[in-house]
Amino acid sequence: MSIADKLTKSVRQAKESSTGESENMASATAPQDTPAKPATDTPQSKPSASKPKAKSKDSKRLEPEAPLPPLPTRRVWPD
Amino acid sequence: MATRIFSIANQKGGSGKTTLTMNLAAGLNKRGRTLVIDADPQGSASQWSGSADEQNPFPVSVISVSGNLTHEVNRFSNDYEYVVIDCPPTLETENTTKAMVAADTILIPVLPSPVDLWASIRLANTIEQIKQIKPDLRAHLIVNQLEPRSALSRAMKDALEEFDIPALTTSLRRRAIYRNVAIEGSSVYCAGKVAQPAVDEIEQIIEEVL
Ligand SMILES: Nc1ncnc2c1ncn2[C@@H]1O[C@H](COP(=O)(O)OP(=O)(O)OP(=O)(O)O)[C@@H](O)[C@H]1O
Ligand SMILES: [Mg+2]
Repeated sequence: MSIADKLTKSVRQAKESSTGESENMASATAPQDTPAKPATDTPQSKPSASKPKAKSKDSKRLEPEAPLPPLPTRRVWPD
Repeated sequence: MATRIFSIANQKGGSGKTTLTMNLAAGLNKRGRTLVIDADPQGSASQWSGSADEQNPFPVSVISVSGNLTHEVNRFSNDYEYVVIDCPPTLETENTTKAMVAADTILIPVLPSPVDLWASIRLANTIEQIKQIKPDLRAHLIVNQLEPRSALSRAMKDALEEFDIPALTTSLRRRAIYRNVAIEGSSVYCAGKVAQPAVDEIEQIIEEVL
């Protein structure tokens, strides 16, 4: 078997054995933060080299507190 | 102005996340104001930009975030056209997930080696899950440290087709210049003629992802 075939086969096998063992993302995507902490509150970032201007007006696309639908729970396949 | 957010992720250490972050950011900055968010507690991106001398600063601001990444992305992104987030080599921290949820595009550098490919499968599964809540999320694998004469490097193309995530057609070759610019706190864009092939690679990647 060529290296290319071996590599491809190994990836396929690794993929198959990873089925059903997916991450539980709900904890990071669900709104678990204490709500409504203004962005200007405690500084959470350490600006390095040059410091960007902070501006917190109308945070558009990302809504950290907006509830995201929960991800499907881990699937367990019967033996 | 819609900010484009790129997250550079792979829980496998040493796959080239920081190298891609910094050079990609330097290239994007030529097109529009760009910010690097260093979400890795190792602080490599911050150290990279901090290695520049004062006369020749790294052209892109780097902020290091250890608190809630989502808040910080919201806070800064309005001021920038492009944000590039350098993720830590783990899927186990919330900020890695937050960076991937915040992204328009996730780029996954992967080395041409079986072990690195196997490790990336877990990340690919995670991205598939994020896509269920964010269907327009784009994600691409990108081969890093490609050595065209090595059989394994050449075997990558077929192996990558096993992934549900498409690979970029451009790869980053293994080049000393990518290491040298880190110590100078600069990017391949500021490394003269010798770095032109590397610049061409980064430019092609940008063309593919924009
Ligand atoms: N295309 C390349 N050619 C040559 N050397 C490279 C290339 N890409 C990365 N490197 C080198 O490989 C090493 C790992 O790269 P880098 O630090 O960017 O990986 P990383 O994924 O950010 O690592 P970590 O997981 O620890 O954050 C570094 O020494 C870097 O200089
Ligand atoms: Mg890194």
